[in-house]
Amino acid sequence: MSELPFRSVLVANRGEIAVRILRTVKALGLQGLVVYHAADRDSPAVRAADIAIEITGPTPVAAYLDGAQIVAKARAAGAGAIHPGYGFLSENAGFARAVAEAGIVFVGPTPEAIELMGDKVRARNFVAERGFPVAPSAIEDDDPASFNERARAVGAPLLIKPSAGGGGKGMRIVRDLAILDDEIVRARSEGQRYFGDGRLYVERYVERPRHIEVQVLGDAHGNVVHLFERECSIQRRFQKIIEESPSPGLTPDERTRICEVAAGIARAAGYRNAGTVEFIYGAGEFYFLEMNTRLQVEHPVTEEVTGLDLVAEQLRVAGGAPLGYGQEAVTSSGHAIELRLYAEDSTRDFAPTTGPVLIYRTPAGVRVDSGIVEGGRVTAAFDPMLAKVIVHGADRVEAIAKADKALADLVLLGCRTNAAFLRRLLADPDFASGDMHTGLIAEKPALAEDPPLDEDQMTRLLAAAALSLRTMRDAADAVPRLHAAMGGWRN
Amino acid sequence: MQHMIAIEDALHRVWLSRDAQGYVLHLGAQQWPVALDGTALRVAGAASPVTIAVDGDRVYVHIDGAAHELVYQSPIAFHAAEAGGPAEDMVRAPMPGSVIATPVTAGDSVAAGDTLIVIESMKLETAVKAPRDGVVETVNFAVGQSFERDALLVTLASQEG
Repeated sequence: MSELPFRSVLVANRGEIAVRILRTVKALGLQGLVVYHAADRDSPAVRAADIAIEITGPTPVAAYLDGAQIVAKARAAGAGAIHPGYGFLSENAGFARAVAEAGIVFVGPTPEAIELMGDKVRARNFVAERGFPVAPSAIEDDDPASFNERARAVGAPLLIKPSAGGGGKGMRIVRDLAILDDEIVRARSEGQRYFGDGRLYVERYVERPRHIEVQVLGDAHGNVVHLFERECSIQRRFQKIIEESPSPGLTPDERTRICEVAAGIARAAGYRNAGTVEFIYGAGEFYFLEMNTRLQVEHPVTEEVTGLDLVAEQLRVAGGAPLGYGQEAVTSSGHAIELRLYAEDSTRDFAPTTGPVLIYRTPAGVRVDSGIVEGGRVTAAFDPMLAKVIVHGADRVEAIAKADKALADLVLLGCRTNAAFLRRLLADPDFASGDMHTGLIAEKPALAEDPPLDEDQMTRLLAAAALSLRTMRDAADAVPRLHAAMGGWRN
Repeated sequence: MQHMIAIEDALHRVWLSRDAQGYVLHLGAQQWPVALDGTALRVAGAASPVTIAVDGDRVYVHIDGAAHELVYQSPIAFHAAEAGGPAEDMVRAPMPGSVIATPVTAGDSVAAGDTLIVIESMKLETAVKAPRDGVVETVNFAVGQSFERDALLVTLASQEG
C-alpha cells in the first residue's frame, strides 16, 4: 500500500466499527488514531488505537457529532485521513467538506454525492430521471398545497417518510386512507423533531416486501463495480438484525438485474468509495429505496462472500488509486450471515437493557466484531448494538447451522441480550426456507417470548445459583451435618 | 434456612444443605445432590457445562447455549417489598434512555396523568405521567442526560398527614 498519500488514519467513530476499521488500518502498516468521549475511556477501540484523543460534549453522542472539534483534533495530531465509520458524521456533507478543507483525506464519497443521496427526494428524482425503477410516490415539495390529495392518489397501502430521514425514524404505514391526514400530521412532527425538517413524501408500500441492497465501490477515475447483494429483510421497527448474502429470494436473472441497476445508479452519480443501494423487492418487482453513502453495519457479509476487505478498498480509492479490477474479477462464493447482538429484551417489546459485562467470551473460529469488552459496562448512552457475529458456510443451510452454534457458544453475562431471540429466528421454518419479508418478526410475536423453562432447567439454574451464592453456601456450611440431614423435616 | 431466588418474575423457595457427600439442593419436597466444579455443574450425577458470574445479589448463568439471570432476594428486601412502600412518590424510568423534555420543576402542582418528564429510549418517545395529584419535589435529570432502567426520574412530595 505504498501508494497511499497518507500514513495515518483517524477513526471518527466508536464501538465495534472503530475497532474493525483500526484492524485494517494497522494491518496496512498505517498509524491508527481514534477520538473518544470519556464514557468510552476503557473501550476496545481506545485499546486498539495507536493514539486515542479525547473529545468532549454536553452528551457522549454530541461529542461524536462535533465535526469542528474532531477536525481540529485530527489536524493537531497530524492525521492524514479520517474514516467516519457509519452513523454519526458519516453522511454529513459539511463534515466531509471541512475535512478536505483541513487538508485531510475524507474516506468516503464526495460531499456532492452525500448531499444528493442524503436528500431522499432529490435522490429518488435523480434515479427515476435516469430510467431506474422507483415506486409510485408523491413528494410534498412538488406542490405542498396538493400533497394530501396526491398522497391519496398513490393509493393504500402507502408509506409516509420524512424527506430528511433514515434508519426508519418517523416512517408510517397507512393502510386505511381515512387516517391519512392524521398520520401526515404525526409524521411531520416526528420529522421536525428528529431531523429538524418536517418535509415528507409518500410512496406505495409493497406488502410483504423484502429488503435487498447492493454493495457498490467506485474510484476517482470513473470505475464502478458492484459487490453483489445482501438481503436484510429480518428487521424489527425498520432496524436490520440478520443480514445475509446471497439473497435466498432472488432468481439468478433478478440478481443480475438488481446488481446491474445498483452499479448503474452509482455510475450515474459519479460515485466514489463504498456505498450501498437499497431496494424494496416484492412479487418479482424491485424499486430503488435509497443510497447509503458510507460503509454499512452489515458490510462483513459482503467481505465473507467476496474475500475483499472493504475498509482496505475504501482507503485505497480515497487515496486516489484506481480500483484496478473490473466486474468480472469480483466473485461471490458460499453463503454468509451476520447476526446483530443487541442489548435488549425481546420479551419487553425490545426495550434496551444495560448492565456490567462480567464475562464476555466469543466463539473460536467465528468472526465477531465487538464493541464491548469484559469488565466494561453497557449503558444507555449509545446505540444498543454490542457486537456482530458473522459466519460463512458452503451453502445457506451450513451457514445457518454455524450461526446457531456461534450464538449458543457466545457467552455474555451481566447484560441481557437478544441472543436467544436470534436463535429462535434462525430456527423459524419461514426463515429456514428463505421465505421472509420485513414484517416477519411483527407477524410472529411468539418468537419474542422466551419459552417457559422446564423443571430440569429450573433445577439446574437454581443449583448453579445456590452453589455460587456465598450467603447460601455459608448457611449450609454452618449447619452441622446431623441437623442438616434432618433439616428438611424440621422446617 | 429457606432462601428466595427469582428467575424472571417467578420466585422459588430453595434451601442448600450438606451431607457426607457434599451439597444437597432442596426445592419444594424434592432434594438433589448438587456440585459445582469450575465449569461443570452436577445435579443428581448428571453434568452440564456452565459459565457463572455473580454480581452482588445477581447470578448470571450460561447453560445449554443461553444466558439466564437469577436474583437472590434477601429476606429483608423481600418482606419490605411485600409490605409496600411510598412507591407512588417516586416516578421511575420504565427503561433506560435519555431525557428530551422536563415540563415541570420542583414546587409545581400536578394532577394525576400530567406529564412529568418526556424520555426517549432509542426510537420510542414516552411521556412519563404523574401517578397521583401532588407537588413536584425534585426532577432528577436535565434534558440530554441519560439514565438506566428504574432510575428515579421525579419525586413527588410525600402526602403524610
